[in-house]
Amino acid sequence: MSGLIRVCDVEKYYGTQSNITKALNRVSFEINSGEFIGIMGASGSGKTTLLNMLSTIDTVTSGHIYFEHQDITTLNEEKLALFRKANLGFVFQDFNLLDTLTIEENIMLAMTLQGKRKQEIHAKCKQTMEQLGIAQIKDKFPYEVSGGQKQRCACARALVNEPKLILADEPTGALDSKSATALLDTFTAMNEKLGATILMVTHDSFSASYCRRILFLKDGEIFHELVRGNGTRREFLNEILDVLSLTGGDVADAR
Amino acid sequence: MLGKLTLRNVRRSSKDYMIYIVTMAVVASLMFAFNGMMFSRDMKELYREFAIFIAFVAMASFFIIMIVIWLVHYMINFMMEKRSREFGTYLLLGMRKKQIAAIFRRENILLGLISLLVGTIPGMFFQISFTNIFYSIVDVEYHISPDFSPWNLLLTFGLFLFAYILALFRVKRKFKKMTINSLIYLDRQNELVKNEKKTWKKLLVFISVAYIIIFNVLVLNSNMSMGSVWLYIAGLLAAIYLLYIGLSSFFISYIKKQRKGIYKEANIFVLRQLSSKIKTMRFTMGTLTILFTTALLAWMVVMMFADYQNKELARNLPFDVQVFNEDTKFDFKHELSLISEASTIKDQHIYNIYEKDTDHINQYLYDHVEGTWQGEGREGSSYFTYDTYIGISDYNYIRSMLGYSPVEIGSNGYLIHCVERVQPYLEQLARNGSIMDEEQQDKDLIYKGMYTEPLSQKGMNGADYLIVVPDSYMKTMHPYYSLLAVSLEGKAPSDLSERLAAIQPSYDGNGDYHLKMQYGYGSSNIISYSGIVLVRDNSIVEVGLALISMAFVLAYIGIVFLCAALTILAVQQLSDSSKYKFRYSILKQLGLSRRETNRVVLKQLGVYYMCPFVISIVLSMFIGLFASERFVYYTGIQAGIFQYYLLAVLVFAVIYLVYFIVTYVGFLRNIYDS
Repeated sequence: MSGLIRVCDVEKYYGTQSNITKALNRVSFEINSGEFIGIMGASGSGKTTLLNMLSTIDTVTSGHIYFEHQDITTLNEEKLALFRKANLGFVFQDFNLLDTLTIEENIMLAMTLQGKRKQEIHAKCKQTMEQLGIAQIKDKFPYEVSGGQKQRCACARALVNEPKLILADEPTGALDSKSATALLDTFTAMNEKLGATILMVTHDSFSASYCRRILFLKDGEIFHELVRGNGTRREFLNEILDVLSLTGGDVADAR
Repeated sequence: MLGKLTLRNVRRSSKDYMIYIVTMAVVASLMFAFNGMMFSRDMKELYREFAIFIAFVAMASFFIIMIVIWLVHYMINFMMEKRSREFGTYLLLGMRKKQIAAIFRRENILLGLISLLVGTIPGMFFQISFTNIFYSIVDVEYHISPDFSPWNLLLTFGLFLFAYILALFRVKRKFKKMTINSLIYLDRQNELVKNEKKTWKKLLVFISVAYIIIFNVLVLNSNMSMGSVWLYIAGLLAAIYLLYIGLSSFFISYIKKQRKGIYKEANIFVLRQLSSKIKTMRFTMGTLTILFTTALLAWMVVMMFADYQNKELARNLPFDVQVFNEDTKFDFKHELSLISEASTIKDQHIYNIYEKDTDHINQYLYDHVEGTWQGEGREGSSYFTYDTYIGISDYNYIRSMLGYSPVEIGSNGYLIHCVERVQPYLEQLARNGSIMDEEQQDKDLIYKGMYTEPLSQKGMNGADYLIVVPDSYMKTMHPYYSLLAVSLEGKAPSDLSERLAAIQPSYDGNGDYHLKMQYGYGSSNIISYSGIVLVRDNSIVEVGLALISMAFVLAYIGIVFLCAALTILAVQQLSDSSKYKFRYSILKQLGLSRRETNRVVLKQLGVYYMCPFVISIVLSMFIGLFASERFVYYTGIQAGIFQYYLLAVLVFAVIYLVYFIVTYVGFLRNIYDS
């Protein structure tokens, strides 16, 4: 495994001079290619801010983020768009599907934007939808399918261009437990079988237990790191809950 | 507290609906300008037939008020829908529906007042520049003067308030019917996107386009009877609506057929956006297209008439001054001294038109020429009671006054001088040898030809025609009436026509003449210029002013209407841009750069705006071509309408472009606004 992303001393401040909020404080870590990494923390701990930095949607106040040795904090708007197109895939809590497009078209759009050819688009779309079990609903609109199906569509869209990194922001947040489990299994399969590198932000310890490694954020700083190693998922979940109960994570998680 | 809330809301609304406020301000400024001209002393001084102008503006005001009511009503409904959540919250807080309705009404009246106030200053500026244009038509220098009447302020204010109150009439009832639940969830209703099962709907596009083409072909070949034309027009209106109904399905079917175009960039997104937008807006867009077409056509037809009349004027009034008198021995002394007082006479001629108690030519024309009419008693008819004759020497004299070469008929010839319209009928009569009466002794006169140069033949030198006979024949005839023809050096003073009319014995002082004989006006049905005193320069100014007022008032209605319609298109898109902002942030996550996103928006707005524009231009162009062709057919005069049409389209396009750019910029600002 090689270092895909290096986050070096990233800081992010919000607000005006009189009222500054420090969302991230000198955060540094690395992500290797083929990893399934989780970022945990309570609300306001800076998870989403960190994700926005990595996804280039927001800019850093100071520090650097290297993506395959390229510093993406120095790129301009145009180059960032190109970078996102070529390297990143997104899965969000509220699915972020385009409501005017069908499931298939949502996935296709991600490819047409890259200027791929018609045959390639069709073949790849079909393959991805089959892998994620949504081929039978391809002509439906997002509002016509269940939350789990929507999220799998979002996964398919994130996967279809074979990005180097998939960013997932609370992907199970809007799902019932059954759909959530199914989705996390999908993530694991994507990671293990398709070799996708996934970074998942979550405050749900059950979801986090599917990751191979977890970074804990608190008040904008990384205060702990857990690696799953060879243990079972169940053991890993207990470890996560231990960390959370020690550090005042979600009370519900510690019970 | 409620007052404060109202003011805050007004401030927010004026930001959100800037385009609406500005449009209303433009409307208000135009209203100010036109109403101001109605009360303007400068205008009254300039324009003798000022009542015509007032009538035009009053008529226009009616349309403007209707348009304003429509727009305000539309906007109020729109705002109520957008702000329903807020109103639901007010209800939750314990406000009564009556109070909310009152706040909302007050807010809207305040918004109206803002527009009105903003429009005042440009309104004054418009009034000055419009008045200036009127002055330049008459070649009089306009000294800009603050000519603003308080009545204008009061009238414009009153009209505006009236429109707002009417538009706000049913607000209370609407609030009464709403429940908290429906208010809170009203704004959540998205445009419903469905995959049409009925693929036949896309056929409507082809059917409508085919119908429009057939309609245009029929129109251009004049293959429509007057009876069926209404049926065809009803079909055309239906075709426009059906086109929009089909268009949405057409886009979807294009996507489903997986044509090449959808694999380029974000086209698939653009097509879906358009199809859902057109689907919800189809009725509005159809109506707008029809109204745009009507506005363009109305402008074109009026301009065509205007141009026709302008050209006819020169033909109808070949002499500088002409006066008619029933008295066959009238000497026109008064008239001549009046004319020479004010200007220099270059040439003059007093002569008689003759009759010989016959009317067979007139009767023949009544029987054969379309559109002739016979009035009761002295109210006038197409032709005089008797056929009209003139002696060759008088005829040659007035020819020379107009610069035409003299003609010869010898001692036994006759010729005919007539308007083009009756030429074939009189030729037929002449060939039959029945111009001259068989019972009289003049059967031996030989037909020497026909002339159709303009000769003032709408009651002066005969109605439609004169038979020119040798002077020796005049002995057998009776003088019928007297005429004075005058050529002037330079221009006639502007009040000459009025002063000459005032000294006519038959003039009643109110613009009407009461003649003892039956006057002939000629057979032309299209706005004719006749009367017993004709002063060319005065008429040209008068007609010019009438034309320019007509053009101004039409442009006024057209522009206000266009702005109102475009405001609706723009407000729809702008509110969508904030409601569906997330769609564009998804595109950004998918890797679309700002430039590419701009292009997506441009495509989407472009097609949305182009639809009504292109369709109405295509339609009005073809129908306009037909109208002008018919016009040439009926009048024999080539009216130069295309420059007017192009002018209308140009104004149309410029206003369109302004709204388009404003919408585009606002749209981008909304979707990038974090």
